[in-house]
Amino acid sequence: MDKAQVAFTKRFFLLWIPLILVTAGVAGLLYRDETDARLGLLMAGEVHELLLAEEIISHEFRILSGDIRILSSGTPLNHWLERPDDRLRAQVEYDFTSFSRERGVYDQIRLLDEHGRERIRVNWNNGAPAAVPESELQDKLARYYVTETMKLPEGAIYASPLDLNIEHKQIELPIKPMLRIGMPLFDHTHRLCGAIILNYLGQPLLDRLRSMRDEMGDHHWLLNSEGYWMAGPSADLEWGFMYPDRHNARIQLHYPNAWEEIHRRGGSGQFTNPNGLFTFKIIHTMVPGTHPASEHWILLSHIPADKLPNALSDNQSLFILAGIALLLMLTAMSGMFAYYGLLRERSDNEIRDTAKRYQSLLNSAPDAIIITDREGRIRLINEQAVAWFGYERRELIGQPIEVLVPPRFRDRHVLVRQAYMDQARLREMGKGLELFGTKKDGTEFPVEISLSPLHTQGEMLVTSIIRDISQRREMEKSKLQTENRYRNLLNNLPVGVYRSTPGENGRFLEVNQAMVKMFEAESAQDLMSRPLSSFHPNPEDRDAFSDILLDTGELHIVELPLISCKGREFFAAVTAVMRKNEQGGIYFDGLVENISERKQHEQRIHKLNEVLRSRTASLESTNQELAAFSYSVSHDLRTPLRAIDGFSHALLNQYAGQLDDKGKDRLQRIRNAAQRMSCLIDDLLKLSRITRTEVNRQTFNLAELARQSFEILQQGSPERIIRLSTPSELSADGDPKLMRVVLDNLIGNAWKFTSKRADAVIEVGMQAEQQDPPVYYARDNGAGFDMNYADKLFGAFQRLHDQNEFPGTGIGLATVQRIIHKHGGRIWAEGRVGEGATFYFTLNGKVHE
Amino acid sequence: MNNKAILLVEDNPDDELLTLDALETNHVKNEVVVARNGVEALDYLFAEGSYAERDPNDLPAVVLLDLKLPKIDGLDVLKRIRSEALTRLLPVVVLTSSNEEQDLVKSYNLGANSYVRKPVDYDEFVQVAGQLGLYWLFLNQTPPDGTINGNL
Repeated sequence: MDKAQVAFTKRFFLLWIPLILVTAGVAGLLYRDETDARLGLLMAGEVHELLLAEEIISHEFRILSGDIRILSSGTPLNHWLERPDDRLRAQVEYDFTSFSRERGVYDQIRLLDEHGRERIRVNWNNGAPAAVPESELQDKLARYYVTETMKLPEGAIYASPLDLNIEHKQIELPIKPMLRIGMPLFDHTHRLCGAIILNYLGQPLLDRLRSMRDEMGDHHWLLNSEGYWMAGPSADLEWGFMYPDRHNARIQLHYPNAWEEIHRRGGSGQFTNPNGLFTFKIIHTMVPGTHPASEHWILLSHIPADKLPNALSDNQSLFILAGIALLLMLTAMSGMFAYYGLLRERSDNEIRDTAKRYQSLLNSAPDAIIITDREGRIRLINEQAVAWFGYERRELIGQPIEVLVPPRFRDRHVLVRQAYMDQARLREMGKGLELFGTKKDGTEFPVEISLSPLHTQGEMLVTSIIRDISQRREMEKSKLQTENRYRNLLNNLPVGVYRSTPGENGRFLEVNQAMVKMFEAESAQDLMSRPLSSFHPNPEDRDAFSDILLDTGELHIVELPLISCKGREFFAAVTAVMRKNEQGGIYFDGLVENISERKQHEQRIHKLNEVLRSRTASLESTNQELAAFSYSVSHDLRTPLRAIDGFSHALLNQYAGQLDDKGKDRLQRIRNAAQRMSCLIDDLLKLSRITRTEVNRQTFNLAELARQSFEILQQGSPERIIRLSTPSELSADGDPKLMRVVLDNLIGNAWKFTSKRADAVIEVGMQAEQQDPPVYYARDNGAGFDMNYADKLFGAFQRLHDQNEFPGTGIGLATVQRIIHKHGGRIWAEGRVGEGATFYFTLNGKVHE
Repeated sequence: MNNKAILLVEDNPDDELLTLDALETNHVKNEVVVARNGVEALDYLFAEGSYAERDPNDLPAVVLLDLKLPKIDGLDVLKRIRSEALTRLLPVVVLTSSNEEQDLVKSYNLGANSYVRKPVDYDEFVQVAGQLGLYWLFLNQTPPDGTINGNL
């Protein structure tokens, strides 16, 4: 997506999203209000419908009640009851028949005597009512409604439940909903003398109820007090109490919640539950004057839950259609606005960019730019000019250009300017006089100025480009200083620096002071006037030097003899490079150092090295001799000792009888001396062997070596109670093999000198303070020593204790010291008689000679 | 009990005597043949020179070899013993005064079976001699003769 597309998309959505959100919000609110209103209307409608239905029923029953009263109080009937004769009977029959025809809702109208026998019956006969002949009249006392009526007091009316008519013990088909209304008849003595029974046809009433809400479907139900439908959702659910197989067709089995709610509320009401909207009304007394109070009915309208939203579906689709239309419209609108907005912004930006580019072009120029009009007034000035001259921009706009000219030139400048205006042309930078600008604070600075005329809409302006050249001036000055500095540096250098031409007639082109001095010339000119060949005692040296330099381009520290102007020979080290000038001419740049003195030193060092070499050789041979000597001692010196000891032993054993005690003692002394000398030889050999051993450094655990030494001693004399105290890890850097000898000796000594103590402790460790190199120590609480003799401890054969008290050869510590010294370490001891000794040592440090 | 001879190579008569005494003290009854230099020792072993009439297959039980010997020194004798098929497996104990490490290393490198330093203390020396006798004459099992002769 390119940048323009991104900008468009951004603009579009910035318009579109808020529009859509607001519209959707308003539409949502409208929709919700509409829904609420529709529901409210629906509910009110239902209530109204029920009221109407109730009114219809009540009205019907008021008429029924009126009908039976009219029939019972008819004059012919009363007369006929008092005095039955055929004329009156015919009149009553006629009245009943007319009544039946007129009303059209009674299947039968009966007059019974006090025994329940029919006296008169008028059948409806499908619209042709007629009285039945006397012969066909029946005994109806067995019928429940007759019995019930006969029980009533004067003036009361009986109403049966609404049920289906039964003929010959079968439900008459098509079904005939029937309600029987009866009224007892009394004579003037108030004696029961009969009853009138009306069989009311319920179907038209039910049909009227059903027809009330055709447009909403068949929602009006009529239920009896037991919850059976008389008008219900479908025909097979109606009249459940009449059919043995329809006992489940009751509302409490289909809508138990609704049934409960109706009974809980009583009277009338409206409620919604998950099954939908229910509106009900309980109708108690259907026939005024009925006695006892007849069953109650329930008028109920039900709109199923799934039909409630359906009621609004028309509007919903309308809403959606309107919404889509609105969405499309808003989208198109947003797109249009975004597009035109973008176009306008782009053109605005282009104009602004051009202005900005022009401004930034002016401002980014490294020079000050000032545009003046014909009168020399400043019209435009860039950043650089403002910065250089130290004014605010507004202080300069409109001012004559002369404010920027030093006061002493101002008058002349006006004249020059006017002259230029008359003959304006391009004047380039750097032409003419040295010019100066003056700042607000009065300081002047050198400038170069170029002028060019600018013709705009009938006006002539002049563009001045002003360049501050003070920095350039400074640079020129500092360049000169730098050159001087380098020239000084060159002349102060203690080595000769030169530039020369090559070839047979080569000469110096440049020389520094050191060269003049080294070559003992009168002056630099003197030196440069002489041919180079005059400085070389050996012409072949010079040729070789020149050849190699021409060949390889550079030479490093070539040592060769040279001759000064005064003929004195000296040794020089020359370093040179070959260079080419712009014309391709070759020249050499080089350094010359007088190394005569160094040469002499070198020769002396060489001689010394020779001496050293011969000394080293003789030392090596001495060492070899010493090794051979040691070997010989090891072997040869011990052999006679063994003979002395062995034969003394033989004498003591084999000739014991011929020796007295003194003789035996002397022989024993000979043996002891021989054995002691053997020990001395062994120790001496050890010492000399260590002298010849190379130190093989590595990191090792000093504590572990100490434990090994200690264990061997403990195995040798298991009876001694002595403790070694050492950390588990004591890192050291040295030759573990040699250090083992050190520890064998130090711990051996400690072992020996603590032999008279019961609580002997040997401690091996490192001094706590971080020291470099680390200081290790071996400490005991044994016999100790007198610090006055501390310096004698480490000498070979030096002993501070009596041989009888603590035996030894006096070579152990000398060996220890030699090993420590070979490591470049130091060893020293501290002690007090009777209080133990501590031997400190280091393993690193300056190699000890 | 091994009835073979012991070859003692020892130039010093004192040491020779002490060694013999020490062996005797330890009741070693085997014949001890003494060679006073390297040449003599090799002559004996290979039945040459003054021992020309000897049966070369009758090898000693063990050679007790001093290192510092006239004419041919102990290490050369050992080298020769190990280079000949006949004596390649012959037990050789270096018995010397030296405890120089180089001697020890060289001896073992040349195939010495053991390296024993002669102690100056005669009591110790007797002990050493006793242990040597016990080990090489009683405890040590030599390879069968056929192997020694190299007739495998």
